Amino acid sequence: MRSKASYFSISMPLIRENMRRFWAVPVLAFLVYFLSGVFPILMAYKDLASLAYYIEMSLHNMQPFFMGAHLLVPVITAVLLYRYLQNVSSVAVMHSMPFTRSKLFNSGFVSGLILITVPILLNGIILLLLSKPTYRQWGYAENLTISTVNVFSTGEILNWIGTSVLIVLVLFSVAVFTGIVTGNNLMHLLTSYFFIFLIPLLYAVFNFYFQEFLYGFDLSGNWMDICLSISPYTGVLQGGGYFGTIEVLYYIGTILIMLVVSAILYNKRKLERASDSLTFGFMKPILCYIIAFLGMTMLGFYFQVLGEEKLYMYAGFAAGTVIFFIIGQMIVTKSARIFNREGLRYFLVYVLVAVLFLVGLNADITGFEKRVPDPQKINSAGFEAYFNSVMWRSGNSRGEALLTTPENLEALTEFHRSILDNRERFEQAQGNQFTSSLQLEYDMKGLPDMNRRYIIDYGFWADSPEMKRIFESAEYKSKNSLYSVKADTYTRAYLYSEISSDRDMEIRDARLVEELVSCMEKDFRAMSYEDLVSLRPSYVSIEIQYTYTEEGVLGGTGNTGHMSFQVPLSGENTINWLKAQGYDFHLTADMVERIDIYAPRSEDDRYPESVAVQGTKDMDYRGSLPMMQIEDKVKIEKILQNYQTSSIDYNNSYEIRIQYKPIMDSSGATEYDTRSDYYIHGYLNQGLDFLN
Amino acid sequence: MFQLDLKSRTSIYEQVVDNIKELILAGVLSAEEKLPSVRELSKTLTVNPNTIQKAYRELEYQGFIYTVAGLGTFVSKAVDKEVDVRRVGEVTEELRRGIRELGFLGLTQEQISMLLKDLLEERGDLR
Amino acid sequence: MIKVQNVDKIFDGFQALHNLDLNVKKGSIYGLVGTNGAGKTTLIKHVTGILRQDSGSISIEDAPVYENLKIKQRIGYIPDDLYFFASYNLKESARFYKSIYPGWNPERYAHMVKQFELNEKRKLSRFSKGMQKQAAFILTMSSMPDYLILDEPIDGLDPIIRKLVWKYVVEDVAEREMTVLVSSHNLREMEGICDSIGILNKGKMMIERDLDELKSDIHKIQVAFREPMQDPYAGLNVLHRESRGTVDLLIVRNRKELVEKVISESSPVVFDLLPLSLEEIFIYELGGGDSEIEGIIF
Repeated sequence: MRSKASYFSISMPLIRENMRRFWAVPVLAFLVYFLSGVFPILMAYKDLASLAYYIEMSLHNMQPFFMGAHLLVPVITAVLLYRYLQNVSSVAVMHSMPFTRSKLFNSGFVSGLILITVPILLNGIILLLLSKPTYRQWGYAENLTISTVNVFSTGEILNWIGTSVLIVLVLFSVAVFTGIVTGNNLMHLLTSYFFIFLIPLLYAVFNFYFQEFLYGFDLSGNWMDICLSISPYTGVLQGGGYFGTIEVLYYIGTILIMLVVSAILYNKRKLERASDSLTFGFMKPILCYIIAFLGMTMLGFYFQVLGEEKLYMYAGFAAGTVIFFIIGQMIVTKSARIFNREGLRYFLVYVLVAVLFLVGLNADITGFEKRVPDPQKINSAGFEAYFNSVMWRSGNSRGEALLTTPENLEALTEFHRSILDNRERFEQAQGNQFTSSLQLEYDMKGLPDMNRRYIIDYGFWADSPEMKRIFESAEYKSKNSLYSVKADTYTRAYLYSEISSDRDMEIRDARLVEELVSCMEKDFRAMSYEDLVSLRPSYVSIEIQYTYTEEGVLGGTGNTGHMSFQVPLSGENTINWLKAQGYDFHLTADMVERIDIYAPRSEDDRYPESVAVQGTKDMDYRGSLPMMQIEDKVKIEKILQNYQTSSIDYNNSYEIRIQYKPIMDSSGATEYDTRSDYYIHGYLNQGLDFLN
Repeated sequence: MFQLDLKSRTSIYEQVVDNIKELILAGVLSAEEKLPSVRELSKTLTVNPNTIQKAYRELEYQGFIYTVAGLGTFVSKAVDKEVDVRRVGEVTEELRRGIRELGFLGLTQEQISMLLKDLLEERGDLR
Repeated sequence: MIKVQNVDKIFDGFQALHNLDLNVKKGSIYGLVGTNGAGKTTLIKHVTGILRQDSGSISIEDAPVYENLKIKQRIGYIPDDLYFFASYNLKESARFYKSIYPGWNPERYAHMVKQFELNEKRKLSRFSKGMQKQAAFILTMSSMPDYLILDEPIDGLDPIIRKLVWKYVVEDVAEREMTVLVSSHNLREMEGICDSIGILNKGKMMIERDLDELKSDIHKIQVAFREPMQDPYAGLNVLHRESRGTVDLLIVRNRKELVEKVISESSPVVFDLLPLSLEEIFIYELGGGDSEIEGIIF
């Protein structure tokens, strides 16, 4: 019987010798951290603010030397510590010595812990000693209150120590695992990096399959974040240098699991397999299948790019499977003789599973595609589409507010269902239609969240009765109210208009800005859905700057926020208020010199000269001769009343170019006026009959 | 004490036995003299101690030496030596063969007889 | 003592050890011989607790060797392929050995270093192969093992050093009853030093005996009679027989006394009786056919 203690036993002599043999690694690592981290700080210590950005990047592990060290040091250390396993003579001598397998394994692991963490800890201590407040500023204009953050605080340094230690420990424990299951140093090294990046890679690959085969699968959103956080090495990228609690627990869990599995496998490892590729039989098909799967995916999606037909993709899958299965077998058996019964058996198993996988995806056996949630089981739901800039956006909020009322939830699910009913329409959409992706998010009661993403065309969106209900509902209007940003004070309003040459139209009077905001709010409340989805140009763009208080943050007052607002032509309150202030942004026929109309693509044959001079017909640039030039003021006015800012069906819409004289400012000349002519681009989507 | 011929067909064990017997019979090792211990002799000759042990046992069996626990191994007094009948028979057989061989080689009976007499005279120590 | 019972070991479909038994008595010097690929190194790696058998037991002093720290601390192992920590010199290696073998004897170490005239401070990787073997020997013997396991130890050593090596081995066997298991192809040297022999062939133990008994059981004789005799060898276990003219050459598996008795009954004119050397026994037992034996043994 082995006592529990024997599983944790280590050999101090072994650890000492490991330190003596491999001290160069932590020294080098220390130097890399020191020279790329501490040293620049020491050099610029008198004026650290100049280095603020670099310090922030370094402490968030987004600096190439830190990243390089984090990536190389743990794996190299693991390879060195367990090298003796990969050679027949060394493994014999080490295991004839008075050590149990547990002792040998544990001593190596503990040695590695020390070797890879000490450089980080030492540098961290030095940084703590050097720490002093250093602020990085970011903001848009100098004389506005700006956000500052101390990038060199004790907290930041401790965070760096913690995240770096986690990163190197995870990488190290994975590299130890691969060392136990491989039999030579080269395989050890290669499979270490392979496995470190494998899980995120597989996650990404599966997501691509789902996107390809499952209608409505939402690939955007936070899948990328999850993918990156799987490996802490890439996790820094998604977290901006910070790990959330869940991630930390997950990384610690990974380390422990790798540790336990490696320890068990070490005890079971057949030492006579030193110098083989893989030392455990079960690893051979696993590795081979992974290689085959990745190769199959790669070729499948590559072929798909070549041709639209699904056939190309399946051909790619087949070719990739065969080629990469052969490659995989050669790697794991370290020989070219793989065309035998055993290899064939493995191949057939893989093909069977792959076919089942693809068939299962195609057939949507989980009912993913058809699922529409029951409105009563939804906590809240959100949606996002990009047809036109929504009337207003806040710089520090993420899109539409969430819906919670039963009516709106019902409307949204109905809309969802109608999308599914119209699936063919969307999938067979002719090219060059005005489409946008639509994302749906359902936060379910007690069930996992549901996310979907569909491509829909503008017509469907604009005509949707459900969307109309939602947009005109009380909940929508109150949640998306301009006052939902909870501004403390309004500081400035900037006005932007194409037709005014005055670039810097600013209203600095807080009281006036407040009035402006209240007008905008009134207009927003009064807007109909049709107004909202209209593609008619906006009257003017307004950006409101305000201050707000961040809740729950000490000293969180005085933060600066921005809202941008497209005033629609129907926004009477705002337009009248602006007029009262002396601003007029109406584009009248008098201001227009000429309107050029270009033939739609579908009539290229009739108007060959209209085709772009350079490039092919696929290019959007229709830069050559117009088919029609309008100078008649009556017609110009008609066009101005009708034109839209996007084409709906690009093949059949007429692109127009409005040449106009801008409003000059009071002095009659503008400072920034370097152009001699001004254009506005637009589209006529309803044909030209209205002109006659 | 003596040299071993590692190339000889005779096993080391036999050589050790024979050599010690020679020394005893030649009087180089006198009666009651203390022999080197198994350990010491094996080290001196670089020979497996088990071999020496076996040789000593055989010599003791043949009556040439005796062991006193804790004190060591000693040469037997000549008078205590019992005549080893079996061994006499073996050596007689050897003699017989030797004489026959000499005959094959062409010596006459008289020549052989002369030879035997000379040999006996060499061993003046025999009673 | 070392006891291997009924051990099987299969490497990926190839049976390396087959129902193998081995017994080494305490204080004996056991020679393990066999053809190349017979399984000597594999067996030794089991005895030293490196490999784990598929079935059967391997024990020293009635305790299993595998994962047994107390026993392993008393085993000294010198493999065929040496391994030292890269960039270490003899002194550093000695420091490591000292820390893991409780029986480490610094005086002996110092004495041996002087006697073998090795430079303690020189990197072991820079030593010649022969000197590396000497270094391994010093390190192993200085840890005062109770069980010394040597795999082809003396290949590549000059005669002076060889003698020195055996001197140390014999000294420890004599003084401390150290048990030695040595595998070698140099049968002449084995013959001079071992008291027991195990002959391995294709993973099986063919013969395991006390060396002297092994040799006393089998003899080669050269006989000639004046006239052709009727079955002069009746009663003898004749293993091999050939004739060169009137002279018969035989290998018989009988004790010397019986052979002499039977042959002399027929009054041969030529009668040479010789024991076989270990090398000859080896060739005979493992050589296979009569054709191999002719010309080698006679």
